[in-house]
Amino acid sequence: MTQEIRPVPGRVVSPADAVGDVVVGTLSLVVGGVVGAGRAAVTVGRPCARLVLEPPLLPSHSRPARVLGALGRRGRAERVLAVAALDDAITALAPLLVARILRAVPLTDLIRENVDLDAIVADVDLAALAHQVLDAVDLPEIIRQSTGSMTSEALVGVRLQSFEADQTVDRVLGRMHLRRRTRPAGPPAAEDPT
Amino acid sequence: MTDPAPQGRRAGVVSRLVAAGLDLAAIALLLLVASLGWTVTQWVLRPDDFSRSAPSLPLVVVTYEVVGTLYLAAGWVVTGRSWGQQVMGLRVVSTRGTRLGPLRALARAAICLAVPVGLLWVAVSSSRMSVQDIVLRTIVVHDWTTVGPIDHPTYAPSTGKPPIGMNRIASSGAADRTSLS
Repeated sequence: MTQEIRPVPGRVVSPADAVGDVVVGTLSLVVGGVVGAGRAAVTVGRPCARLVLEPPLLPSHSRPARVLGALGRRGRAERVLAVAALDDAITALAPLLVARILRAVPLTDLIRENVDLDAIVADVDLAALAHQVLDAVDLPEIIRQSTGSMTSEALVGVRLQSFEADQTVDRVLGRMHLRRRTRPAGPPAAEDPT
Repeated sequence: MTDPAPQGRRAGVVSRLVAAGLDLAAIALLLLVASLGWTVTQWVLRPDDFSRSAPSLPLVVVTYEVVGTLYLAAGWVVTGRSWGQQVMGLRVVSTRGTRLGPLRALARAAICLAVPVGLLWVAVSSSRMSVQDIVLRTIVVHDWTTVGPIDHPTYAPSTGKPPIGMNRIASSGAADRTSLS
């Protein structure tokens, strides 16, 4: 919709503004014409395209729309495969490439010559960083767990040794016939609790 | 050769002697703390008349019997084991596999303290029972788990069959968890 523009009374327009207004008005006219032509082309072209792609006289499996759809699906599959292959190639090549570049470039020397490391370190609040690390790491819990694990292993060792000593005593007393009966102490089913 | 599965088997004389030694040390420590506490209390209440004197032998024996009995019986009733047995992974249960009641625990503790040499009968007993075990129909088994003492896996000596609860505990994999004292 074209809006009528009226000059503001009492306002003086400079020559430069007048030229600019003329240019803008011309461009808007051109753009409006192009847009209108495009709309007209779509309006006219859509039935034509439908007629070309789906001609009523051809059987449905031979219509160009169907053929184009099949071609599109095939193209999409090929594109996905190509992208995947490219992805794999980049994944394989990138580390080699980067490693080669890093070997060729003296990175440490470059940083040492061009970066003020002292200034960067001076900006870092090392005390706060250390506090953050200590807060994130539950040191007492780690010490507790490691101590508990050592205690548990030591206990198991003591228990196993006493258990072996029990069996040794049993064997010795059995050989000396000091036992009242030679029935094995302890339940036989304990070896197979199920 | 070491049996790979001591869980549920009856404890031998060495394990029980070590546990008894630990319990004896714990009782001695309790008596020492009690004695020191009594001495400090006397010194605070009557600083002028305070004189440090050694307790009489009968008083020591009676206190040892009372404190030791309460210590052992409380452990057997509440958790099924005293502190020394906790360290050694042992548990006292009845021959039916159940936790001891207060009376039986008190009687067993009293006999243990009165006749400590009765523990040595475990070495010659085929069923690994001490004198107090034979009198009160109790047994001591290896139990390295942290599960509760109720229906604990033990075996009646007459049948050799597992009591209620054995399959549950064995299938839950609880036997793999060692207890920390």
